[in-house]
Amino acid sequence: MNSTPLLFLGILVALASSWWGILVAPSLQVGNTPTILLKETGQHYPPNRPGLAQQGAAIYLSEGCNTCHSQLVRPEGFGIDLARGWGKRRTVAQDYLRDSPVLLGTVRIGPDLTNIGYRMGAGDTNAQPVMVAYHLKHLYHPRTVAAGSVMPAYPYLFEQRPIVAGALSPHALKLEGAFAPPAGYEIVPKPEATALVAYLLSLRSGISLAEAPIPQPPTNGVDTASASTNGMSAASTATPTNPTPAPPSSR
Amino acid sequence: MIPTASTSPSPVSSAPGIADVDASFRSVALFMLAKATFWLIAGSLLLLLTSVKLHAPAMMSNVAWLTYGRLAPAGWDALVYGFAGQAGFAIGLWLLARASMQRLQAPLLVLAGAVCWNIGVLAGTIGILAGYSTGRELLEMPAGAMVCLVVGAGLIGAAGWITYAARTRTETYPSAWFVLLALISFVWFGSVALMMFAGDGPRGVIQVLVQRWYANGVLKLWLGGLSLAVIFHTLPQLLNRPLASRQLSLIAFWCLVFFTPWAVTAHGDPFPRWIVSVGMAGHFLAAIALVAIALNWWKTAEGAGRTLFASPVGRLIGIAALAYVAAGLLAFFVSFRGPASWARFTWIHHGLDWLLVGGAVTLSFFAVIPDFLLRATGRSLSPGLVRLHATLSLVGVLLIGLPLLIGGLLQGSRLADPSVAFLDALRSSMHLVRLSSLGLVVFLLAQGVFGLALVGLFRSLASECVATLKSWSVPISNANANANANARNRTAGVRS
Repeated sequence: MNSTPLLFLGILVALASSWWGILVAPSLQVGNTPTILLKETGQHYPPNRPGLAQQGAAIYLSEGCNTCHSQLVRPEGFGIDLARGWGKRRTVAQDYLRDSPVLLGTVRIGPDLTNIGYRMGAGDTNAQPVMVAYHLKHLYHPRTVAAGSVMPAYPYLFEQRPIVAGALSPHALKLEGAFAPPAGYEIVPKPEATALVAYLLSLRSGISLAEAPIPQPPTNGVDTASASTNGMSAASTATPTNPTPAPPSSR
Repeated sequence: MIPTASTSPSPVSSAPGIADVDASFRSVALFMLAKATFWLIAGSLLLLLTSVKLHAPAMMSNVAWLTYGRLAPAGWDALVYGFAGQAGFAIGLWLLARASMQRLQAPLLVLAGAVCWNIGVLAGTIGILAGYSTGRELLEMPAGAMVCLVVGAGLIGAAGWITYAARTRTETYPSAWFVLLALISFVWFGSVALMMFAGDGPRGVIQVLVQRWYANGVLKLWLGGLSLAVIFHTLPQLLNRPLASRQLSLIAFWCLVFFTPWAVTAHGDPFPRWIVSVGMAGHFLAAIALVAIALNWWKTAEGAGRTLFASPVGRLIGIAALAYVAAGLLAFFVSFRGPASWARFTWIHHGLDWLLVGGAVTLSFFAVIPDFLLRATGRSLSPGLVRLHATLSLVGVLLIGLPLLIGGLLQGSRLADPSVAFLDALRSSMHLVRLSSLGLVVFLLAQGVFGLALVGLFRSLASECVATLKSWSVPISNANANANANARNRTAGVRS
């Protein structure tokens, strides 16, 4: 401790060892992990987000949504994320390969959003407009759809404007009671709100992976995960079916 | 009041006196502590507003700058970097200079670093509020602001190491080791994180590892290190007895440096399994440092608890030490699989942050700031306001941290039952979150009191300056009067 250069070097070596061990070595492994080619669709998993959803990710970041929402489903026995219906399987490193930044989150003041894109009637093409309308209303004022919610309202992502020609615009929110705009006015989403909803609906980690298979009921004795080859290909595209739309934040 | 002399000094000849060492901090103390106090009040105000928005989510929802997701990181970063980091650097350098029995070397480097640091904090806070957050906890500030912080810390750290290298004492002290560690830590963690996130950044979950490695290092080695330095310096002095074991401090120091940065993963994380295991081993090995530190403090203060808690400074140091150990033990406990399954993602996360940053770091700094200012400037803060500040801060921190921890327990236990709706589990803890908002009101009030005390000190310094200027101007005006009289006489002589 008496030699200043030795103390300096000692501290630096100690700090550098953790950098090498916990950051550089894992980078070599995760950095080389390939995306998975899905045999059924010929697409890669995880997919690239569409442009609008990517713009929405920037809004998610800018508004600090990750301050209250996580994007992580823990495995069975490490929490009850699966029992809450936040996913059909745990999330693994593979799911986040294309995300930047990766927003796992630290506190859940709101529910997990890993699979928010699945939660309302996924698989049913008619459900898409319902989901979009739901999320837009929720963003405009969460209490319009979830009484007692502590989530902030984002009215600045919307525009209040006069109704033209006596008819509501196609994208105008259908608001009632205390949340309704003054007579003769309508609330329409700004591009930021539309993009944010597109991002939310793109949040889906439902592919069965070799390292995180989706548990299937034992029908005809076929195990979905065992169909994967080389331990890397996806076994199937899991299409969660939930025919009755339910509010995503209820669990 | 903290005694002046350190334990068993062995000054080399031509060593500066302790008063010279203290006086060399005059401008640094005044500049950095004034800025730190500004950020302390601003950060507390932002955090109070954040907390109130949890109870009134629609309040001011039209203002994008004041949405919860922006206010929370802006307020926390203002408190961590603006106050704790800045005040910690100033106090740390002072302790280092005292332990080295050397005047602060290169004070201009420190002042330049502090200016750079403040520009970084200001740009970063405004950046987050304006919506330019990076979304990475404790690294939310835009990259430009982070560069300012790293450069500022580098300049300040260089001055610290130069001062240590010029020491006139042969012995080294644990407080000095921890300050030296803190001076390196921020620059190391900050610059590596900046470099790793440059461009596209690392792939996938490695981004999370880098962010956690940075946040863990910055909280435990930088701010934690500065707080440890203050407690290791002050505790023996308050009790007027030597530190129980130097060897134990040495073990604690190297265990902290070597093992703490590894403790960044938790069970259930989406990393390859071996990374989670390595991180868990880090948690266990880092616990050795915590036990060694706790044991050392315990042996030092054994049987003198009543003496320690009798004075306001002693109470602050005592509670800070308890908070440090409690935060470490709780963090270790919730890293286990069972507790982690229900404690993760609850208010406990915020509670632990407050216990470490609010309890250990902030309270230990508050304990020495009045004495630091007195010795560096020769002027004291109003004793009444200092006492009030200490009491209110203590009550505030406990009232913020404890309800969050208990609220987290409640929330976690309800969340563990899948039949309880998410919102109901959250609501079950909201009355405790309200209590913690009340704690923030008390904390903000305390910092307002401290601000008043500091304004008083500056006014006293200003009147001293005015008096000095007047004392200079009197002989000058006398000399002018004499010169005029002589000139008149000469003129009269010429006429006659």
